[in-house]
Amino acid sequence: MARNDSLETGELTDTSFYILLALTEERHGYLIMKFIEELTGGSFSIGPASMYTTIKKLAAADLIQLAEKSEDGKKTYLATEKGLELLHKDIARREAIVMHGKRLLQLKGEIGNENTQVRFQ
Amino acid sequence: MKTHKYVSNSGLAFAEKREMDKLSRYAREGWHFESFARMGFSYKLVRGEPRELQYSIDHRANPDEEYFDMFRLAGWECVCSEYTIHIFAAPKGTTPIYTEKSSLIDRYTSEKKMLGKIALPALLVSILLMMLQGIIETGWLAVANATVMCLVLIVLVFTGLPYLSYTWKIGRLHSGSELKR
Repeated sequence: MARNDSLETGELTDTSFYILLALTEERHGYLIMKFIEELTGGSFSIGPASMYTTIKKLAAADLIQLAEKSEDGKKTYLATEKGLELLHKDIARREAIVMHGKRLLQLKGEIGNENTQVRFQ
Repeated sequence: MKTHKYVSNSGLAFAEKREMDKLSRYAREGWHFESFARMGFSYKLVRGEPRELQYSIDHRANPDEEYFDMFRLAGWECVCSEYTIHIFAAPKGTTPIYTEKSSLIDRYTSEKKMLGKIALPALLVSILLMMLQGIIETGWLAVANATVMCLVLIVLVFTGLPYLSYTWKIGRLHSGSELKR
């Protein structure tokens, strides 16, 4: 049974995406969680089991690497070149999806143009 | 006053959520899960202050310091570790330990593989012994064969049923959307 390993196909899950984003700077597990929560205003959070598993997967796929340990002895990680490249690609991919959706729904008149204000009577 | 209590474990592999909810209810009454007892068939609960806690299980072979740290920093204390089974407790409202489908699928897949390593040979041996039983008609050999067969069938049930349960869980995750993202 072929597992849908999105990392192989060059797509990132939301969790992988946010972790890579957090690791554009050297961070360790807990700070990664905090960073993502702050960035998303608390709307996206990652549980410790998912975080641990995903970090191991990203490291195995060479998208992040172990950096030096921080002062308090915690393992810190940093995105690799390959990881940053994939991040850029995935942002472009997601932008395209949003653009297609907005364009189509605008044509159908279901959502307003960004520049027009919707007034409710 | 009683300080310990033993409560039966109705099958972690099949009804994880129900069992974890059970532990929460006991914690609310002041009975806290401390360890497994009676070869994993019971929970040992210890008297304490009533607390609103939620419990989670994770399976992890060879967990390292980083693993437990990550859970602790997220609010999940490890209350018991037995072989590859780890039980965590956190205050109600803490983010669940799994928030993403693919990491949960990874966990179920690795558990399923481990069980398969025992279940499949057990299945083959059971079939073999059953065929033998058909050939050996009477005598001490038949009794011996039947005994061994019973033991193997017990092993088969205890590994095979969870194996099927995980297969079903993985199938459900792949098709449904039990977890977002």
